[in-house]
Amino acid sequence: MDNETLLRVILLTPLVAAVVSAFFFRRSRVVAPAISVTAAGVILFASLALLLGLDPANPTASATLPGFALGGFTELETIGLSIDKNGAAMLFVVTFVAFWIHVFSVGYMDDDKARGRFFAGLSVFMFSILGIILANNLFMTFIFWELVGFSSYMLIAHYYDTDYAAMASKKAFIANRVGDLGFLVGIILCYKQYGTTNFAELGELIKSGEMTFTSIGLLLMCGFLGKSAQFPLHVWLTDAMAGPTPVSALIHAATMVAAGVFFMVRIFFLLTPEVLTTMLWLCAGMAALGGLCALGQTDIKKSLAYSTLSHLGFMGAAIGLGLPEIALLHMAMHAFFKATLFLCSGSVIHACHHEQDMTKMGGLLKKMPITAAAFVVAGLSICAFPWFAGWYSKDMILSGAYLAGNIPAFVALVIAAIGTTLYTGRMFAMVFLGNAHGHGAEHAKESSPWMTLPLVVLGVIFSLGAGWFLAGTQGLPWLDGKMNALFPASATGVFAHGYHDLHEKLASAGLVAPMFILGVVILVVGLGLAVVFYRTSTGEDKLREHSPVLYKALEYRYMDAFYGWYIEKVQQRVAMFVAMLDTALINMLAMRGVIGGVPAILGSVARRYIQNGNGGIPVFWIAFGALVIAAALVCGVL
Amino acid sequence: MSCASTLLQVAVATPLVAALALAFSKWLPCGAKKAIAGVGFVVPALIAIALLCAFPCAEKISGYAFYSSCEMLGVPSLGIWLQFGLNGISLPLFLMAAVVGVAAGLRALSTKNVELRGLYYAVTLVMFGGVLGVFSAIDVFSFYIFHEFALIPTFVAILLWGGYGRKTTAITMAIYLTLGAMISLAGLFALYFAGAGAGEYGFSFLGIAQAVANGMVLNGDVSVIFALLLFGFGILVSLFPFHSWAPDTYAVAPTPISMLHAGVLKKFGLYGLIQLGALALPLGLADWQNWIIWLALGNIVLIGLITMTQKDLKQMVAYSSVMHMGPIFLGIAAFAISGGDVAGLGGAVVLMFAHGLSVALLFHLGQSVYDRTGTYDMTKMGGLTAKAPVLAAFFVAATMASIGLPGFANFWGELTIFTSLADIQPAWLLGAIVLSIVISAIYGLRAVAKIFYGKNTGVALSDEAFENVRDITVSERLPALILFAALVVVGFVPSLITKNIDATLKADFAPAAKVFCAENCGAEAADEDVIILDGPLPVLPAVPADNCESCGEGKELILAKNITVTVSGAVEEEGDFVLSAEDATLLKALELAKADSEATFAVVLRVTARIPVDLDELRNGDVEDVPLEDGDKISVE
Amino acid sequence: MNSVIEFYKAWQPGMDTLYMSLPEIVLGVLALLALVFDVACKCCGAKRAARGFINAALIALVICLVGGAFPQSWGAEPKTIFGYSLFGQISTPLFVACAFLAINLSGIVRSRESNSEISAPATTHLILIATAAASLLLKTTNFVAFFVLLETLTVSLYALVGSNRNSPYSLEAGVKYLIAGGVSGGLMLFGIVLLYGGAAMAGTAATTLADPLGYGTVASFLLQNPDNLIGIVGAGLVLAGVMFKLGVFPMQFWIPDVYQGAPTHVTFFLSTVSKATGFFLMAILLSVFGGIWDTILPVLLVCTLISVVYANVTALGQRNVKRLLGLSGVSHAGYLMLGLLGAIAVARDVSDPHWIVLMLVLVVAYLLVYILTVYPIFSVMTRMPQSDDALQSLDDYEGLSKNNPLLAGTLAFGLASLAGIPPAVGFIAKLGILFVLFQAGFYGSIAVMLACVVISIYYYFGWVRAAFSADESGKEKTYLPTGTCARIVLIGFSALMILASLAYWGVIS
Repeated sequence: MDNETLLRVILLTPLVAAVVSAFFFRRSRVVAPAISVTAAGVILFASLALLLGLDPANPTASATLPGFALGGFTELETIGLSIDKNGAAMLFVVTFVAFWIHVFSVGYMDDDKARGRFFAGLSVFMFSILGIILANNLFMTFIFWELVGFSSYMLIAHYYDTDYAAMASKKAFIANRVGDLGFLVGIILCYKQYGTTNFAELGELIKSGEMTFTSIGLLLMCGFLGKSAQFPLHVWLTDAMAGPTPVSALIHAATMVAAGVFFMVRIFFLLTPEVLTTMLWLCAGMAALGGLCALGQTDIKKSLAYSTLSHLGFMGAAIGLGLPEIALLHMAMHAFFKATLFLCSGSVIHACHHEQDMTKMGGLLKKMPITAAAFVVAGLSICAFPWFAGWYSKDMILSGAYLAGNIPAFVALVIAAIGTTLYTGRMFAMVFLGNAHGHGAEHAKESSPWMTLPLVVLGVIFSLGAGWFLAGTQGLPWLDGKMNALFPASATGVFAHGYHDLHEKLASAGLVAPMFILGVVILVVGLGLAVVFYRTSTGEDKLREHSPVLYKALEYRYMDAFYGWYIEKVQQRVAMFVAMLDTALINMLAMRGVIGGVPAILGSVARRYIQNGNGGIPVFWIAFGALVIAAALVCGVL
Repeated sequence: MSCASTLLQVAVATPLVAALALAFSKWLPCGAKKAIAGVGFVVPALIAIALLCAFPCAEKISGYAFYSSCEMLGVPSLGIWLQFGLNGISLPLFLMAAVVGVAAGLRALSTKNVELRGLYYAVTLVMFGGVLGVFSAIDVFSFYIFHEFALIPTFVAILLWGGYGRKTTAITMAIYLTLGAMISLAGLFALYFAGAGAGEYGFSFLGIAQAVANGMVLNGDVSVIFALLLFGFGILVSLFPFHSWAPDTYAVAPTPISMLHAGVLKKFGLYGLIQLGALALPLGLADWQNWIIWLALGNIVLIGLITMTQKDLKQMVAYSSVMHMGPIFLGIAAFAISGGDVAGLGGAVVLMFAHGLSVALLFHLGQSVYDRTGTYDMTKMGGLTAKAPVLAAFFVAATMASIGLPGFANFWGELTIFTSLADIQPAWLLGAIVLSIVISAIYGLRAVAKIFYGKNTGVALSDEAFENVRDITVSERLPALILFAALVVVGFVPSLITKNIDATLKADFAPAAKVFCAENCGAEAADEDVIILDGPLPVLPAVPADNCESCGEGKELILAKNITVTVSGAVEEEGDFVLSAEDATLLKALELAKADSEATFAVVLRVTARIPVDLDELRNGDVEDVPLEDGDKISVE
Repeated sequence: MNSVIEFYKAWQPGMDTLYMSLPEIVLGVLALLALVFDVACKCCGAKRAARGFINAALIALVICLVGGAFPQSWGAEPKTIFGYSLFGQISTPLFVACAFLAINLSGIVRSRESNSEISAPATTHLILIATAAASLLLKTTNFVAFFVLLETLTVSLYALVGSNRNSPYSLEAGVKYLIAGGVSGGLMLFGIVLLYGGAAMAGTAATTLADPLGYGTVASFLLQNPDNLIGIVGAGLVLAGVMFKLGVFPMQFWIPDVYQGAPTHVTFFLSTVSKATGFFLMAILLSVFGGIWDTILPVLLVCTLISVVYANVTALGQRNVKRLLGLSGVSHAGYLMLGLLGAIAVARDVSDPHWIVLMLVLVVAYLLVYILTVYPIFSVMTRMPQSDDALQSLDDYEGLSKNNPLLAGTLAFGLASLAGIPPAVGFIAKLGILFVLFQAGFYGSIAVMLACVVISIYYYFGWVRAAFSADESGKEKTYLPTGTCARIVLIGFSALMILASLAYWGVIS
């Protein structure tokens, strides 16, 4: 199977699975999940075969599908699919995490009656995210960008009968669409400026001296802001938790939001310094904000959502600092441990009969040992416990910020790091320690193997194992260099390169040790505070007890309130005014007035004065008329 | 006249004959009426699909396949007689008309309580015949007359089976459409008398295409004719200030009529603008492009805002169909904005095709929602998905199609149009135009959320009434499936229709495109008097390059476009060199300037960019040659 | 003065003039027979037979006229009173057909009890006399015969308008028509006298003697001295008289009142035969007054445009159906005048004869279409349930589509054709007029015409709307029964309206 067919298989299998299960097996309880999981499996094996086939040094492959051309617009004449070093890394991470989440969701959705629709939605999502990875030009990316937004809309609205899900899905899709607006305008301007949107050709053009433009960079960044929920458009991610937990895990933690980061890394060469600085400020700010606000949520998924916002801020800051490889590295690591945390919360929610409020959980350590173990490992990894997966990427970003001499950004990232440790500790304490505080938590028991196996694989093995490959010695190559620790070698090329560059710089600046100490200090301080303050689950949020004002601040409804106010007051008012203007001005005045009114007046005037049946009028007019005609003729002559 | 062209005539005639049969069928049993109407609706659709397959291999007269003409109907000496034919542009629109017609017909057949049923079918059939005629008749006057077929049936349909406030709406609609029709009639007459009807095929699209091909020069005032056509068709197609008839008419008219009218009949004006406006009067389009841009912008932004405030579902769909006219107008204007690139026109045709289907589907499903909840007021409904999942699925698909989600045909049209508008002046306009995808998303999703998601508000349907709401029946599902399938098939394989559109556009619109290109490049041509044509041609007399506004009707166009380049540095002859645009490359400039062979490095300085080039690689050809532009400075070291 | 007497002494009606006026003679005979039959046969059976005989005779006359049984000699030399006339070939069969239809309508109108006073034989007699006078009028080439025949036509119309004795509206309309007709007749005679005087004074000796009041003399007089004051004023007054007949601006104020008052079949006769006569006369006179064309054109054009705009705007306020039809008639007369002026303007500066004939044929075709469209509308009006003919308003039409779909359908087709909406033949006729106007370059008048068509939509479609809207008034409506042959006629006319639009161009070329 050469690379061409592999690429086509990877892209089209989920589409076929979605169509088949959507049209023919909507009612069945077993066939739809089976189709979807096998499709995810096929994709995983196909991408593994592809990645292993590529040589690690320069991993590239491409294939084409028939497209269309109209007049001068020939960009989509042949739809090209291609893999480069960034794409390889993203492909492995997405397919691996997605497969295990599919397995998890079979267990999670066992009591749901609309399983056919759910799994069809998952397959559509897979088709779109793989499209973004394999796309080789900006237009293709935009097409799958929209499809990803659509599939997240459908999956958030899975529980369609709840008003919250209806509102959340609409909000998510519109926020994405606002981002896509800027994104599309950026693509069009880029196409006009450079004549092509193919990444490879753009690369050569920029390399050969073409100017890069801040305006195009900023507009393309809009796409990133919309999709990865960064500052102005971040309101939809926390509400997107209305969807089922596997959806939150797959889409709103591991892959879709990461696609924004992946895209920015891919067009890094287009970004001018001004764009990078704006991105740095936006994302660093969001990292700090997310880290703190996670403390202000009692809903377990909302807290994790803010943690995702914070870590996306980390990745954006890494790009802003000019370290795209590190951002990609953090994205990969983050995908694993954040997916694990979400799956743990999913298994806990499932066990407590869909109870999402942490204050009503507690004491689940003994009842759900495997979930707790996975949570601990992933928690430590997210807090950047040395030699765990998170430590490699997160501390690198911190040291990169320090190295770049950007103190305010460094401070923001440190706050975010401390926040991370705090909310992880809080979550662990409130969910697993102490005794149960809700009747659901009382008789919670360990979830079925469907759910625990992915937890083990993603959580324990990958949060730990993923880190080892970078352990200083280019990982543990086996299968004659094809595999590097637990990753295919071609996927890790980009990480290793970026990691070692930064490592040498740090070593030359002698910062390696101090940064290690800083990391440990943050860890100790954060966890210590969490243990001291949150100790065990008490059926009530400690922070809310002690300082409701601070808790209120951290609950962070301001941006939602602002947008709500804008929609209600400004947009609706303007629309109403325009509508009134339309009906009043054009409809009444112009239309009825001119066409109805004036003639009616004239008609009535004529009827009353000229045409009122008085016999004399016609005679007078005839005589007068004849004289007028004669006079007109005469004077015409003179 | 091959069998295919008679098929085309049969397709147009069947609905009209069926309508005639139904008009005098008071004593026919209800079943027979349905049978006749069914035949009238289905036959043209089958023929349309057959013609689509037969189009590539059909023999074409300058792009028009299935050509047939009957001199009897018309005055050959005056150049006006009935001619039928389909070219790349009219084929997809004919197919769309047939598909929407079948869907509208099936919807008409499945409406339950309608009195004067025979007349109801007859009226819909006459409209369907008129609509098919519009896209298949290539003679301009019969094209116009087929469009007017629809005025009386719509008027009668609104009066007899219309909704609330039908009396005033019927009259306003009649007056508006006649005003538009009269202005466009004046425009067509002006075009005819400006000498467009002289050719061997008379005053038809085919004749005009051939006349334009061999350099027709109109002796009328081009921009006045274009203005008449623009504002005449503008009223018929609800361009911004003249749109107030459209939403009321579609909201009040019975569903099959509004499906046909909003979905297909409105494309008459736009199709006319493309075939006549852009093809025969490119300079007129250039003069009026700013008007079109600002009015279409009004369509998008202002009507978009109004659509957001609509509470009534059918009113909202009507306003959204008015809003979607904006991008199509911009697609036509893009032909002038982008200086002759036909991508905009192609995008406009694809969007017309797709919009016709999606708006018809929305009206059809809107009627199904009305049948179940008894009202069109969205705020009173809620949670219909629980009871009607298939209806919900179709409605979500239709909304996604109309807001331009990839995977449906609308997206390809909108994308091509937005791309072709790249160099619109002032630049922020592009942002305002692309804003349409956000506005349409807002009102589309708001409708879906209010009707289908959330809980039943209990206002329109009490809880027990809500219980016995059933999903859509087979007779409602079939038209929805037909429209949905067409949207998705073209959505996934756009080349099905874009191949023909592209071929026609490139063939027919090349001369018009050259006008734009010549006009734009003409303005920047070097102002020194002697223009040396590269190669053996003799020296041409000086052609004054006056500004392009005045080179309106009938002026000879500047022949070859030339650019001047200055070379300096390690060359025998420094200074300016003139190259013809076709082969102005770095290598040629260096040859002219006789650069010495061992020079290794050259830099091309341009206002917008600086291109360093390694001469050795250039010479042995592994770096492809750099194209030069007017006013480049090349320094050789 | 004596030259006139000598002229008439010299004139004996040669065989060919007799032969040429044979149709009119037949009409006269039939008119007299109508009176005789009424006196002769007492019982109503015989009366119906008599009426049947007269109708059959009329149909026979139309058929042989159309068949060319009475060859109109084209090139008759001007010395006889009855020279040739371009329109003789078309107008006579048209007038006879209209007369037949009018008599047919009068039968229906009289079946309503409120119109029982109208005496059948008198109506038939007067209609036939008026038709004979009208068709003869178009054949004459002499102003004396012109005036005599015109007055015969108008006087018989006075009597017809006032024929419904027990309806005050009819009598009032009759008197109004009499006064207006009298004044305009007087002015026209004064015009003719001025022309005669002018021609004599100018002393174009050769021709005055032979035919002092002939068209030829006047034409040559005006040709030779176009700026002769008396000649111009005379021509103006004569034109004013003809404009009274046709209903163009200063002279059309009488139309709505008379159309409303007159019984329906007389209104039909007025709006078809009288208007057609006015149109053909205008065509002939404009060619006679060719000499002063440049002065006449602007004045006539202005009057026509004012009349078109006035008629359409006033019609908007109308609720009474017959007044509405009157004003719509005035606007159509305006369109006809525009077409005529355009055609003649083209004819004057384009030499190719084929082109001139095409122009004139287009305009005359518009008139034919107008008459073809008006008949079904009138036949529907006669069958409506209103109490008094004169008070028929739009409200009487409510619920027509439900109670009587055939009438509603015919009305819809008729009004669509009057309004000029494409599927109907009216649009194609308007297209012809537009074609002529474009050819003649009257862009201003095209704009006015199109604007007026748009305005006319309001009242034509208002009427159709009334017919197709539900009947809220709730009062029980009795429609006159439409016999099977009447149904066939109505369906025939509606079908003709659509098919004619297809074959229109074929017939033209």
